[in-house]
Amino acid sequence: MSTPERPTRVLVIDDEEDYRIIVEDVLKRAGYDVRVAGDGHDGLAMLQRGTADLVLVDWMMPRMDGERFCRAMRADPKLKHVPVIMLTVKQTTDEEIEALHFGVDDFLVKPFKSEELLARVRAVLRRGADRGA
Amino acid sequence: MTIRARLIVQTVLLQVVSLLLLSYGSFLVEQQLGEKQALRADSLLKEAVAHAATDALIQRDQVQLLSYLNFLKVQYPALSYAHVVWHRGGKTYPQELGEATPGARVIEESVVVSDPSSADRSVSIAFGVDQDALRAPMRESEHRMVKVLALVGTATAVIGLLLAFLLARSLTGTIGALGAMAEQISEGRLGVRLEWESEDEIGALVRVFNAMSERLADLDLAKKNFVSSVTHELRSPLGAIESFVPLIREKVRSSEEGALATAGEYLDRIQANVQRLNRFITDLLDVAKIEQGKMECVLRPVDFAPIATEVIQFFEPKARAQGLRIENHVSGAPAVLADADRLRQVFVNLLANALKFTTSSGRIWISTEQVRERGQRWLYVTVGDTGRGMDEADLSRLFKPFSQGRNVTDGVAGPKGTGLGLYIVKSIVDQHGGRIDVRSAPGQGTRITFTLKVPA
Repeated sequence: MSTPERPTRVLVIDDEEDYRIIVEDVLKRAGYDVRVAGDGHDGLAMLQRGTADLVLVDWMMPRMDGERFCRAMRADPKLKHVPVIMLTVKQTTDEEIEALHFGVDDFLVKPFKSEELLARVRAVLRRGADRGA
Repeated sequence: MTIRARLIVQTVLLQVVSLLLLSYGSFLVEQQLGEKQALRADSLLKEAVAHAATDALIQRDQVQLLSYLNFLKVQYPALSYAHVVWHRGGKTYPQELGEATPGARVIEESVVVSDPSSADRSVSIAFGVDQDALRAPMRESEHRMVKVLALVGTATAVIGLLLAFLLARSLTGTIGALGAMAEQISEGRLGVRLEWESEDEIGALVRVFNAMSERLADLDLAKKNFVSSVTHELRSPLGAIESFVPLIREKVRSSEEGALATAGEYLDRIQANVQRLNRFITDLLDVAKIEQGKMECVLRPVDFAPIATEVIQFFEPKARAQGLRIENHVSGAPAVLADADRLRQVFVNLLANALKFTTSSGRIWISTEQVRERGQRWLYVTVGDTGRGMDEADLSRLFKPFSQGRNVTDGVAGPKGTGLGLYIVKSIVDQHGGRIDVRSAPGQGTRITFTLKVPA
């Protein structure tokens, strides 16, 4: 959760502008510090310049897709503990299991309600805080 | 009965029949040879009897003749008896040697010899030739031959059975493998292959099977692509619309500065998504029409340049936003035989693609050229760009429905599209009696040229 001194930083990576705007709007109104990137490549570069507390990343993207982004992130010692929520329209169980293997903490299937988005963000952050404690 | 058993039985039957025919033939030949031999033996016997008679006549020795005939009888078992009659000065002296065996087939022959020095002396011999004894040696060789034939026949039959079994196994082995493969396919394991190389019918069958298996796998992949792109293309805009609506509601209620402007912006986005859904559904319906063979174009002479220009103007704001300009080189193009609405659709699809794959530093253009081929005037229309271009693999599936190049999935941000556009374009051009060609290479841009008939 956000602390009075510093709001929780969330990085949203999606190549579809609509979804970037929707997620940014919802999270900003809930008090998060939101930054956005258009693909995994840009997202990774932004993370390396200044880390985030949570990453929301779309699966299907050009240049670097969600899967490659996650693998790259998990390979970076500085970033490997940052929790990741995968945004996807894919939803078969096989694909979800596959994604757990490359280090995804949770899923959000498009389209989603803002309440669901916020609930999952809070849950993943809380689990991360518990793990860190 | 299994194919294997049938093959074995038929092969062996064929072998037995040919063996029987061959044996019968050799038997006939042998019999004819034997008959000739019998005739020769018969004439030899006759010669010997005549010879003996002549000698005895010259020697005037009746006893010698008898003993000589006796000797001949031992020598030739076929000689069953002889009646000798000596003629001297009008008198006859008969002599008998042996007698006919009862029941035997005996043919009587006779020899008459006269003394050349005294005409009143002669000897006549009537002798019986036992036909069975005459043919005995040859019957024996016939028996021998039948024995050999039976032996060789049996050996051949056994070897033949073995070979037939091996042949049947090698043939039905592959057929069995093909059957197993078909079973796998029917169980859903598409794309299995049988490794078998031969230039015969089995090889051809295996090749056909493998091609079929591959085609089924392709169809299956196409089906999966279809489901996945339909899911994505329907869910993605619908989801965006669904998410924007509550956001707009909050903005309208909110007293924050600029909230209403943001709500308006979101409404524009909803509208864009509705348009995207609309285009997708129209495309799907077009594809359904194409697949059912119901896509019909009503061809009539239409002015080409205004249609092209109209579509270019439609895309100009989007092009400008991307920092591009669409060059129009169609002035002076003649009227063409076309369905105006479908022609517009072709340009919309081609220009949308060109814009999707071309970055700000590039160019997009439409140009035309008139060509006369086999008495028909054609208008060659080219939509070109200096964008990303495509490699061979992407080119090969360009006009297939629901397939998209890696360019789309890897190279471009935003909506992925459906992979239907160029399939529809090609179908429309086909309906116009024209051709469509693509020239492209990675990083070298893309030029798509299609042809339209120019009315006479």
